[in-house]
Amino acid sequence: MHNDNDRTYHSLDQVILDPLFPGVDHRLRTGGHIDMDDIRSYEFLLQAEPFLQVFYEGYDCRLVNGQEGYFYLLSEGDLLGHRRLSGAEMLVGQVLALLRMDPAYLKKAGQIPVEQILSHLEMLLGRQRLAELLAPRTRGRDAEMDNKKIREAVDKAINGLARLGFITIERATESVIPGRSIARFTEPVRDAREMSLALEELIKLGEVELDDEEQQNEN
Amino acid sequence: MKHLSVADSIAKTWSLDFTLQLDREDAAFLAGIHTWLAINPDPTLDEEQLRNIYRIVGEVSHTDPASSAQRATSAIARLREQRLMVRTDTAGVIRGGEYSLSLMGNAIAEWFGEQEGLTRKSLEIIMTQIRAGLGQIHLAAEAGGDDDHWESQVSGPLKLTVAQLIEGIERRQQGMDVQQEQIRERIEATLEENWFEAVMSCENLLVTTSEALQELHKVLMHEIEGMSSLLSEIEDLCEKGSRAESVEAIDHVRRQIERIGAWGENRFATWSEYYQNVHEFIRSVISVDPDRAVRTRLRDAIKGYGRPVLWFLRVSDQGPYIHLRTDSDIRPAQTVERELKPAEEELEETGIISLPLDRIVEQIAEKLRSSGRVELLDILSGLLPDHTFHEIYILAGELAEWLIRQGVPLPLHDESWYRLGKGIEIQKLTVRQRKS
Repeated sequence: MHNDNDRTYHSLDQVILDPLFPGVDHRLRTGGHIDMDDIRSYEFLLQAEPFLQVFYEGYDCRLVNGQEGYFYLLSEGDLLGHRRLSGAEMLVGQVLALLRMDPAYLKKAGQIPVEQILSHLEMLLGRQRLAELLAPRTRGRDAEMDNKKIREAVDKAINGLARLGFITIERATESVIPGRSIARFTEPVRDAREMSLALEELIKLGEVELDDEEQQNEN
Repeated sequence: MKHLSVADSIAKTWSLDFTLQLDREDAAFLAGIHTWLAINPDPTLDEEQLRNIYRIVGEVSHTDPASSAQRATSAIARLREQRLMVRTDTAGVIRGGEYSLSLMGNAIAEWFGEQEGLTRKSLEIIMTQIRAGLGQIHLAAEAGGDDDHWESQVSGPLKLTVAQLIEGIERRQQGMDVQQEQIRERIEATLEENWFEAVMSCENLLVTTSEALQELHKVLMHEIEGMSSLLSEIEDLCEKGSRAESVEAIDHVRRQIERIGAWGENRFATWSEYYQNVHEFIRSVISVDPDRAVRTRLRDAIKGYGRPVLWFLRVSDQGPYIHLRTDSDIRPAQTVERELKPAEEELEETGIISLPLDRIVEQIAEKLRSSGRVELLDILSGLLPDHTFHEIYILAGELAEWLIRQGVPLPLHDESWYRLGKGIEIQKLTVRQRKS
């Protein structure tokens, strides 16, 4: 057994026998992202990474250490299963990644009000496009109903992103705090390449899935 | 020095029917009067001087000079009505009056003015004065004496000298809050404007402020500790002399000291958090994107999301664990024979039936503790011989709700319905003990 100050491992057995392993393993398998804010779990993963890479390979999985300081598990086969984020989660995640780059939120300890997410979504996509993406309809448009649906989709996306460890929800202030892993949403634009080339590479790495809009609307 | 209760204070202020309305011109006028009083030897000003000050307000606000006299009259009246300015002479209506600012007017104007912050030097000076004051009070309390002695040498100096000196610290603390807020705004504005080029200057500002706060925090904590023990000694002496008024005054001072201590702790912690946030921002955002290109590209990517393709991040998603069970674990349905009651001729109003849930929960809780899990079907089967079907029907619902509150329901892998006697069928519900 290892104490917090001296957590070094010499074998996979030692890693698995650490009391932190079951919780961390479960979070990773269910899509969780673990960053430096959860210092005990993050340190555990840093120390155990070489052994866990081998361990998860057996499940056709890859333990990824993101450059901003966070871990997550990518399932590349069918043994463990994987899913993609929803359209609303993708939009909210990208907007939060953008707002995290705004120094205006430093004063509020990184807290971003949900209202700001909504207003930025509308500002960047336009009202009509936002409604098309988050409140799809087959017939006609009802502004009030669209607003309600958009708000519900954003709330649901926020809860989903929180479950995956991308953000923390501050219920009292109706705001969220993006974690380091929110940077995953910037992957396709990290360098100056064409976005389509970056996406191609990310698909090869199993980080991203594509869908054309028509198919998405059918879903 | 008795304090009103919150409710009394609200009721008292409500009954005053007082409102305060200060527009931009009146606020500027108030600040002008305050400065005039500060830089002139006269403690009051007359109407002519007030009008001269208002003329400057008019120039700054670009109002029509022709209406300046009338506007000045109205502004003077408004400040007086709102008790921000008081007439200090007793002259009647024929002679022009002499005016000064009220306590409230002064406080507001001071707030508009430059906020005096708390520095290590100012804190040490005030703390030395407080310690000296408390030392004398200690000596006076030790010496003891008649009522006059306690009033003039102990409770009086505590209320007036010490309490006011501590108020001075509190006032400077508020000033420092404003200064810190301004520093935060400056850091954010500089980062937004100059991004990577602003990193060095922001880091310097952060370090300087942190060092100043750390120094203040250290001095505050050290001094507060010393003052608290001195106050306790004075309190003991007052209690021995049965001086209730002095004890009350000590309580008031102690609360003030606790407040400035809490301020120190809180601001130090808040600034440390802010310091870390800015450093994290510099490390993970600015250093990664020194020319703000990622930010621009991400904004464009969001604008065009879904055109032509929608892209989605992928996450691992393991399904729930499946608990394999052997057939023998499935308990066969039990049939209990019971004589049918003759049907009631008419429906009776029986009221709400009280069921014996309370009597059985202790037993079930014990079983949950000892075996780690319980099964609703087992419990109800056990209860079947002693209860009617109607009771079991109601109990099943109440018990299911109670079990979910007490433990963690396990995933339902067996969706079969099990007969419970003749009239009821239920699904299994297994609950395991919560981990403490």
